Amino acid sequence: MNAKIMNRSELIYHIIAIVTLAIIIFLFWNFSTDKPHVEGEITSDLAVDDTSSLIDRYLYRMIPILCGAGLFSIVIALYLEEWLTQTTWQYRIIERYIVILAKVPSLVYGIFAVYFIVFHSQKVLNYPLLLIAILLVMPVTIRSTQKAIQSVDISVREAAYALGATKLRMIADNVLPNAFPLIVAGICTAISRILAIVALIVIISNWINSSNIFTIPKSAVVLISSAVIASIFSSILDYKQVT
Amino acid sequence: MQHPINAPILYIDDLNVWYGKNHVLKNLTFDVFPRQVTSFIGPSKCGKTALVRCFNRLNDLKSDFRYTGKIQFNGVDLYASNVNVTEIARKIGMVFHKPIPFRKSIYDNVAYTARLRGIKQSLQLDTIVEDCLRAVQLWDEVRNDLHAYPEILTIGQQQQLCIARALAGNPEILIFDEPCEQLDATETPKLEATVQRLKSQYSLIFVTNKRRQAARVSDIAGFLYNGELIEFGQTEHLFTNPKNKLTEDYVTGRLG
Repeated sequence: MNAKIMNRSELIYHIIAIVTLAIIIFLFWNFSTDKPHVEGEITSDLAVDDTSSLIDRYLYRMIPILCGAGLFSIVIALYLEEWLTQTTWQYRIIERYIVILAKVPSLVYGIFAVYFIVFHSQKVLNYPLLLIAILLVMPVTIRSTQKAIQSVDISVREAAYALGATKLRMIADNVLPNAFPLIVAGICTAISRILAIVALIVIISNWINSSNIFTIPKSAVVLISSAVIASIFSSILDYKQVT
Repeated sequence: MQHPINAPILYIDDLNVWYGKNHVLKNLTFDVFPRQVTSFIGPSKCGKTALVRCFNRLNDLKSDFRYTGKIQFNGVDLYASNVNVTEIARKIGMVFHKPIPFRKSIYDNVAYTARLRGIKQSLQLDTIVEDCLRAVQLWDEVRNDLHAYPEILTIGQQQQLCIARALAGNPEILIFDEPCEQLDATETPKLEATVQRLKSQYSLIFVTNKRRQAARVSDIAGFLYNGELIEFGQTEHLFTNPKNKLTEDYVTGRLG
């Protein structure tokens, strides 16, 4: 009966993962559409009068791109682990770049984001911001998905092959369900990094526009809380998978 | 259609296998006949597992695997370029040294292989699951827990479940790679009894490093030592009247 309980707890973990993700996305969405951007509104470089307008203009548009980047990361990780042999030079080069990018502190990306969004909001095109967002999300998600795939026991793969499963079937039926918690953990980490940077942008914008620099906008508090929740949840999933 | 009993189902001729620079199997030649238990014995690292992994092409997963020689299954070259590897794996099932149930319910574990064969109708799947679980005498123990996860089962029951899962693929040959390695003394006889029951319908290849077990379950036995097939023949003769000194030393316990 223990096994049943264990699997129920696994199910609960999965439900919590999905609910947490939903809450984070809802908060993000709610926050980004809190004060809708007025059509034709013009904001100056330094005199940014409305933080929500900034979020609306840039980050709101980034959500689908970030989701796409997350999914694309999973596909890249699957390709690296399942199709590209680890001894090939292509694997080693891609792997090395991903590791370097994943280890760059979020603050570095944060500084770029603040520079482009807060100080050069009118001049800059969307592309550098998208690049920052993608660089922020993809390496972390790829690394965590790689770890998740590597954590699936080779014997499980062999058992599936020995029964006549194709590679795609084996991945869908055996690898992804086993790796799911760690993949979600990676996505949570990426979301947490983005939320933290958005909070940074909001706070700095507020400092520039407000006479009282000691006030922290409510929206920034919500973002930071969400980032903390996401990172705690990511750690729990990581720990659970390791143990 | 059942395979004629007097024609070999597997024909191995001058098989050599390398893992990188390691020459693990040397000049092996023998036949496996249907509806018999053919066992391979020998000390650990003598090449037993490397040999059976050639039959369902699991060695293909190793990037440094290399072979020469011929392996024919029902007269078809197993390593021909036009051979469908997944089809071969379905026809030559395998049970590993430790039970590897998937993270699915007991029912779905068995139905997994049937689904790989393209069977989707639930009534048909129900029948296959019941038949396979009955074949390994597990049905009565799990019939009320079919939708529970296999972790509720003992290690021995999990191994029986893995056998049932392999049977659901309707294989012609079933390979057992040291299946009792992780079982305790009470569960081993049950598995051996299952092997004896299955041999009337399937060709079984049994790998073990337990001499007595090979003597109990098999009809034909082969003794492998350092990658060479030292002796191959009737189990009774191999154990009671070995022709080779090494075989004699091994079966009497002086070697390995």
